[in-house]
Amino acid sequence: MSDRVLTSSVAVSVSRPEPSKQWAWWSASLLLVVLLTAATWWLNKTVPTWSKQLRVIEFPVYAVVLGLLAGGTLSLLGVKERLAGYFRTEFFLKTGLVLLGATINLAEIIAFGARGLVQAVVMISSVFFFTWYLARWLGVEEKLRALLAASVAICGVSAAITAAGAVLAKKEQLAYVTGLVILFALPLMFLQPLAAVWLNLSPEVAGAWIGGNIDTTAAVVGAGTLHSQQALKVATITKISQNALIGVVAFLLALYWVVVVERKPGQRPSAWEIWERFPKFVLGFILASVVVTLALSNGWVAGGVKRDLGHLREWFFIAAFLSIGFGLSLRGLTEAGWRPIGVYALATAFNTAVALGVAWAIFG
Amino acid sequence: MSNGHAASKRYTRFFTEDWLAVAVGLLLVALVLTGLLKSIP
Repeated sequence: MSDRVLTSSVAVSVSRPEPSKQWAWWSASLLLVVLLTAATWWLNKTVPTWSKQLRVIEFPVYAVVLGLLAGGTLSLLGVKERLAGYFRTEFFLKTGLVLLGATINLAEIIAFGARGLVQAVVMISSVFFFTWYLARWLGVEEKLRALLAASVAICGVSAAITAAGAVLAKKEQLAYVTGLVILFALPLMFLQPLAAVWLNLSPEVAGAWIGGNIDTTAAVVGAGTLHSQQALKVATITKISQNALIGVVAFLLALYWVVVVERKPGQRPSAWEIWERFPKFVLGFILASVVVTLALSNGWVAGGVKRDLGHLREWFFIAAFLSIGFGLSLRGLTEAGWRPIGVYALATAFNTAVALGVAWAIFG
Repeated sequence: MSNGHAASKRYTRFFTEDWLAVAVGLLLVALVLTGLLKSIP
């Protein structure tokens, strides 16, 4: 029996083995994730001691590379799909984000979050419409246009999936846009922190620029980590502010599709759609911050808990980046032609420039 | 439920992983705060 299974980033076809063998594959997958995560942790602790220059390399780099190597090797052996079960990018990332929330003081979330929301509204609306009209001018099909605009403007994979649901895009179009998101997000993850240092941006402006520009939350976390702890905090909060608006954008997109594109005024998406698409991990992020802020400020727990929470967070982020490297597959990009890639590239350049200006204006 | 809404539901299943991440994340926070999980490398 064959199933089409939506993994963290792309839809793949998986042939199901018998139940007992399935357990064995899942156990092997879990063991592999644990071992690779431990190996990444070891590299992150050990390599910087070899040379001063090597200290600039942080755990996202080791994790993506190890994941890529593991995925490539297992692909050659023909067992990659069977062992993919526990490589859950979104689960590891979102759990890590809840733990990150626990290490951030609530007052900072409120301060940066409010500014982040203003930035998000400006960024989402300008970049969405820029991408939408550019794609239309280049003759990109309507539903694909919606996926491209949503993923560049808001948050990569999650936004693409949200938009796909709103406009009922094909799975192939969703897989294609997801590939584009990763293709552009990963280089930016390494280049943008370097650019921020070169431009002599403060950690707050750098973080806001990273959070407002890079399309996937994972790459935002990676880029923030590569710059500084403060940039990581600000980048994550601004990105989360943007993510929180996914539900609103999905609702408006679905409304536009039903009323204008498909002309079915009798059918309208409900306001429930906004809640359905709201990224729930944001609630966990805020709740974790509330709980730990209260516990520390009232002296209920020792200060050392933040260190432990930070270390736990790092383990989950390592697993998330491992899963990204493991799941990388850019084969589908060749099938839809150059136009969507061209749109995404130009939209990303526009996004980068506008995000820098907005970040500097609001956080500078 | 219309066909459109059913199809939309397929995509929103992606977001149920959010709740699992929230649950696991908050459980880990609770374990650390209560001292049941400590000295993490």
